[in-house]
Amino acid sequence: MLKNKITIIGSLIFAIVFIVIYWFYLSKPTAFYSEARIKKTISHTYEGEYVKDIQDIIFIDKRHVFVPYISKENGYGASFWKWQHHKWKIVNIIDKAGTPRLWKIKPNNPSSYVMFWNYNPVDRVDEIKFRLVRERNYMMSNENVYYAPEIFLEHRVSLHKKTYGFLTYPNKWSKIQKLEAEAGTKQTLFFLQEQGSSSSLSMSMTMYDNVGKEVFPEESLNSNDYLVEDELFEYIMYTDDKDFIDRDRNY
Amino acid sequence: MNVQYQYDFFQHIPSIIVSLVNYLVFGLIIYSLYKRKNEKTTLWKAVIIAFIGGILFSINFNIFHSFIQIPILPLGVWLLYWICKNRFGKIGWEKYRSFAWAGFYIKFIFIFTSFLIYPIDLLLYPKDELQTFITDIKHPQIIRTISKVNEVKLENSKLVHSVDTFKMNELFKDEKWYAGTFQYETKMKPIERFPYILIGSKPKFGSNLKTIIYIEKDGKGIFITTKDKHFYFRSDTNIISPVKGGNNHVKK
Repeated sequence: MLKNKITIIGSLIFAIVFIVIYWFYLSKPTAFYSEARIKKTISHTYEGEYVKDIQDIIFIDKRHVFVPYISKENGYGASFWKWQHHKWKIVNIIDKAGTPRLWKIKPNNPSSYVMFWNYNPVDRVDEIKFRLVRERNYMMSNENVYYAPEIFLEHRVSLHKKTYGFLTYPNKWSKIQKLEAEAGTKQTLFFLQEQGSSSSLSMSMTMYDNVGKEVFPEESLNSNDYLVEDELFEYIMYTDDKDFIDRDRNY
Repeated sequence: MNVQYQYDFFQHIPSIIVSLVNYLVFGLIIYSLYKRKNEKTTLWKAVIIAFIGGILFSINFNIFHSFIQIPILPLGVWLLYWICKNRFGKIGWEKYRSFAWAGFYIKFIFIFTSFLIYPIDLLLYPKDELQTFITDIKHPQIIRTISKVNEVKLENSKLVHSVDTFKMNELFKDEKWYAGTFQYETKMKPIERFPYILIGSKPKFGSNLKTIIYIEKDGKGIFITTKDKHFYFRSDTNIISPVKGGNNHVKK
């Protein structure tokens, strides 16, 4: 009799634990929030930010959502949401999203990285160019020579008349990044090139208007972030095309 | 140069060989000690005691391409001493003492065996042969790392057949390139000499080589970097060809 009771209680506890774990970690996301709820959540999380318009609700995958919005102060902002612990959580709010953000959805897997932006229309941004650059370097120590070839990749994205958008990390880029993480040198190399260059991969970008002229999106920069999970986001630095002109002369 | 030679153990055959040697040495020493002690305890107890005796605090560093651990504090021996004294008194400890200390001292022998890893590695995986780095090419893909060079594809069969013809070469022999690339006064920097990366190839089994494989502009050179070293190979065979109808115009 007693033995029976123990078995029943034991399996009951096991079942409850299982259900709780499933519910908390593995369950499928419920429907995303309504616009009213999104507006409310943003204003509650980030004091002083009032959302006027929700521009779009974009699912990056089943558990990650990008919501570009326009604030009462006419800022073109972005908010990022994640399904975690059985609820939709807001992970980041940017009041002016003119400096694209890289969201490392799975930090160890570059193919999960996504870049986001939102520009105020007065800035007339029509196209963005992203760059992935590693300066060539070499190092000499103890009769050891080490040369690291240059990497210089560009990726252009048209905004297609929308103020906001996103770009999943190009396949090629994530492959290079994986290689670099696995076999790239960890040592500081001698800088060969201009100052400020670095021996590791870095990202930068430039914006253009609809006739291909470089523009500086003044109204979309100088943003404030309200980061909830900060290690998953990275800025992409703005650079003039001019910074790369010396290099271009030789092609 | 401060380089850590800690290989990813299960992917590095020389490390596996040396640790097998270590276990053999350990077994032989404990067994002969056990025989000499006239079997006052059982063999498996002796082995466990010696194993625990080998738990220690050590100072670790790299020298001569080898990762060395110098035993400092015999933590395992102290632990055993404390347990045995409490449970069986001084006499009980006498029975196990030599095995515990043997476990500790054997670690000094391991210092010498760890110097074997690097020569075995050189023997099995000679770094002056391209085959060591590129053995298996199943799904090769070439990535352009400079947007402004032509798109190319790998001539797989050519690479397979000419692997032997690639010879170790001096990277800086090309003086014009060296001057253009490395001297500060030169304003005109030549285009990157290795604008392609080969992915999808595998190094020799058990070598645990983590590399980035670059291909030279003319397709006749292969430049390989690891975390701390580079290797340059040259041949007369061009292993790449332009992609027809590909994106070959100069794009700005």
